[in-house]
Amino acid sequence: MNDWPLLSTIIFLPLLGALLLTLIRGQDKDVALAAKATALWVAMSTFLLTLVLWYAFDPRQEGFQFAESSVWIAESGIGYRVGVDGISLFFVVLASFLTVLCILASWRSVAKRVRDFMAAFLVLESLSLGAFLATDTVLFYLFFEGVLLPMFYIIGVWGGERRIYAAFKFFLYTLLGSLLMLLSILSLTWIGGTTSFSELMQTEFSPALQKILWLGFFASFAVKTPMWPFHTWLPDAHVEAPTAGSVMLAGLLLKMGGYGFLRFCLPILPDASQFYAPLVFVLSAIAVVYASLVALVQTDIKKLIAYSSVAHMGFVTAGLFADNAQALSGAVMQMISHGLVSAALFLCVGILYERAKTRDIGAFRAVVQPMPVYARLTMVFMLASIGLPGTSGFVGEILTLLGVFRASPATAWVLALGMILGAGYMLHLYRRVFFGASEAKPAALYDLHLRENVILTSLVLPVLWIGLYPMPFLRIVALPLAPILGAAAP
Amino acid sequence: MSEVLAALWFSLGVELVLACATLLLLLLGLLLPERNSARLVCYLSILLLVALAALLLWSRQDWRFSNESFSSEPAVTAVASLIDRHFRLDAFALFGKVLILLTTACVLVIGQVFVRHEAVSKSLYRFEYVIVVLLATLGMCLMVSAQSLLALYVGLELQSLALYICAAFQRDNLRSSEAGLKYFMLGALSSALLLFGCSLLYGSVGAIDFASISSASLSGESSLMLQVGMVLTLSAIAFKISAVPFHMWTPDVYEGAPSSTVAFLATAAKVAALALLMRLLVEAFLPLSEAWQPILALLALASMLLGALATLPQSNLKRFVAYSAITHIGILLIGFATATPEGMRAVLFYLSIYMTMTLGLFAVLLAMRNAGQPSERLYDLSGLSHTDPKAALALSVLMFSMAGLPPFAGFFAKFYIFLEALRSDLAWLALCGVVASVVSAFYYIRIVKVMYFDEPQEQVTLRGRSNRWILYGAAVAVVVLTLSPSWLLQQSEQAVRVLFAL
Repeated sequence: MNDWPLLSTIIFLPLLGALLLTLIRGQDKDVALAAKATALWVAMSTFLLTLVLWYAFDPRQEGFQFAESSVWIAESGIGYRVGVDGISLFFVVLASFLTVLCILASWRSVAKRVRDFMAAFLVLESLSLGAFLATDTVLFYLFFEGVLLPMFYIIGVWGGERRIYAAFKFFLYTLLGSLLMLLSILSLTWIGGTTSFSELMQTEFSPALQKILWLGFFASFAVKTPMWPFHTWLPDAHVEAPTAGSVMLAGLLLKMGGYGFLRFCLPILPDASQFYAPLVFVLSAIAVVYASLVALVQTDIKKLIAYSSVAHMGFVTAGLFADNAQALSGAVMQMISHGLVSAALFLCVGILYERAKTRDIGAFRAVVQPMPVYARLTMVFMLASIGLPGTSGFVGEILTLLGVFRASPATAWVLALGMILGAGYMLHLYRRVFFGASEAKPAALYDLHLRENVILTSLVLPVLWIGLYPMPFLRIVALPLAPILGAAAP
Repeated sequence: MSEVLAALWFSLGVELVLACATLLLLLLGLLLPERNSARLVCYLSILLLVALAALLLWSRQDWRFSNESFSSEPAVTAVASLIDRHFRLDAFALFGKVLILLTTACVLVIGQVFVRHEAVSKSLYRFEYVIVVLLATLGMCLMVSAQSLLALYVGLELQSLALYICAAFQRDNLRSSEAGLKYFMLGALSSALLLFGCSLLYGSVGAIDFASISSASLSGESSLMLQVGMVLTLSAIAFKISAVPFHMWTPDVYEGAPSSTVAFLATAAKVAALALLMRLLVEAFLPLSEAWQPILALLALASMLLGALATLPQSNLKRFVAYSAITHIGILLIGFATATPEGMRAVLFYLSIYMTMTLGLFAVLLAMRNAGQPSERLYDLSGLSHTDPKAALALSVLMFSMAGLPPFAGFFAKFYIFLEALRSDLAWLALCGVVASVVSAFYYIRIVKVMYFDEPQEQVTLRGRSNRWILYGAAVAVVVLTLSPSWLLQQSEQAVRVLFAL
């Protein structure tokens, strides 16, 4: 059992499933159904495997666990190295969990080219799992940028009206950032002489060099996170992407930015991270306030939630660079929480859109009457997004805020202001859509059926769990964060 | 006597076989009935090319590429050294030749479906066409093992003259004739430059072999004349590889010339010219590297930027290929500009992968039919994912790879070029390469967009089973080379080590 390459199995099982999908033959209708079923089974199995991983994970052991390492390109010292630690563990579980939900959520809403859609999702899952599990810079880059390809298809083929524009914008924006990061990775490889994370962490780079390399990484992760002012691709991509695409985008792809900061900038380039921390604080503070204000005036529900993502990621970036344990674990918790909550909110919007075929806030009124269960579940997610105590959002935000306050009180004040604004736009949205007098029934709205109920409820549980009893998560997360804090020169 | 033959065989074996076989095929083509001659000669040539490549690969362990094993009989050594001074089959030449022979074979295979089409078959579906292609290949093989200016010129001219004919082969087509003429005029100009450069080199060194030029420039006698000669020679070769600002002929010739010729121009001809450039730079001009590094860096910069920007508005696939080739040449030239063995290794690695991708693209281009007519419009690929999902998938893999996106081999190709650029303090060039890559990614994914996001065009089909296999083969190769690039890297490394005499 110990020799079994569990991580490789987790990474490549979905890819195998995608290949399997191409073998399905028959009538269009049968193919679609078989493809959905196969994809669901593959995603479920992967999810179960990640749960096994969580169970078998030893929270007291430092460094990467379940590590696999083999030579890939001997000439350049590039290896196939994967491993899991406290930081990546939850992202891996999150990735496989969200994929299952996405496949369920697209069960009916995707009508054309179902097989390709499912295959794209499985490939996307494979690549994002790989990005979180890779412990080799080149391998990480391969997965990190590879994620673009299935996402490009998902937005471009199954997206809304302006899907082509959005797909190109998303692709090119991210690609430019990624390639700049590639230059930094190449320099690390060349100067450090290795591509392994753990060896790079032990290598000292001169501060001047760090500052240049840091900018390369920053270019990529700031676009991916996204940080203001590099966020402009996000609203377009979210609005045009199909619901499941938005879920993956918000739940996983954005996390890769923060994860990248945690893996590269902080431990490998600590001096530069300290040097640039004020810049990150300013950008984060602007992001939180600016995105919240923009969210206030949106008329498209999906766009509003997209902007709220930008605001929440502002918390994450500020927390990451606050250089203390509280803020760091707060930022990681915030990422996990946001992965669940924003995914849930996009699913909620998708459910509404499926029924009414519009996402315009003005088109809805008193939705609570035809859809009471839906209204209740959405309320939970909105409150979690605001950061109400007892939900996962609270844990992340309060820890981040406390930590950032110690590093930069001014930033913390602005972030707190952002929280108030966040409550403003969310509650405003909720009031306009769910309450009010219902003069006429807007459209044929009906309450959740079983599948949707299962999807949303399964998201409520972890949101409340993290909110009420975050210790199991915090304990696992905290251990690998300690060396990151120690990395910076005093 | 047999030892003289052996010496000949060691340095010129492939060329001798190729030349004799070409003449035999010419005869055979005349004797065969006209109906079958083109097809039979083509099949035989493909067989010949593949067999020669296989022979080269198989025999590389046994041949030590040196004359040590020869007897000390003076006549034999004299002949052997005479040949050796002009042509040498070393590991580098072997690498180049195998690449040239295989790409030419593939070009002939995928060209079949094009030349057989009724609209073009009258002028193109003739056995002479294949013979001319073989002659060009002979010239290319001579180019990659050239050891002296004379050999260089002979090889280059044989290749060029044959290519002019190939470009103008479609006699009843005005555009083809125009392309041939244009190519010939500008090619003649570049030949003149080359000759002038060679004469200056000879004038200042007093010898024509690369080794003497190298030692002359090493011993501090690098006169102005030598440098001017070098620049003129380099510009002539820059013309052949269509590096900016010597690229003007490329889009027009690519658009006008018959597609099967363009496939040849864009693959094997590029390999030969780049290999020649590498040999010349390393074996003759390495001591002057400080002089030519900035030249190549500038050529690289100009080619990348102009290529990337000029590809954007193209809607004709052949012009598209022409400009995107200029971008790729620019990125390859970054590797040259490093002037290090690792940089050159990266170039060979990139070149091999780039050839694979280009062959796959041409396999589609040559097979495209709109309402039965050969088509070269980009938008005729619209909705190919509906009408022909497998081909669309394979082509999009190639496009992603061309754009340098992981997890495809094009990524590692760029990876090594940029790595060596950083290592040689050419970070600014690598940065420009990144910008060019992003711009070029736009037009590569535009092809993916056309195939996947746009509405299908019912009348567009892809013909030819062999083209399909080459396309799939290229796509698979691009994936396999990502999973295990080591083999190709090692081959490139061996080839480069010989050049640098490591």
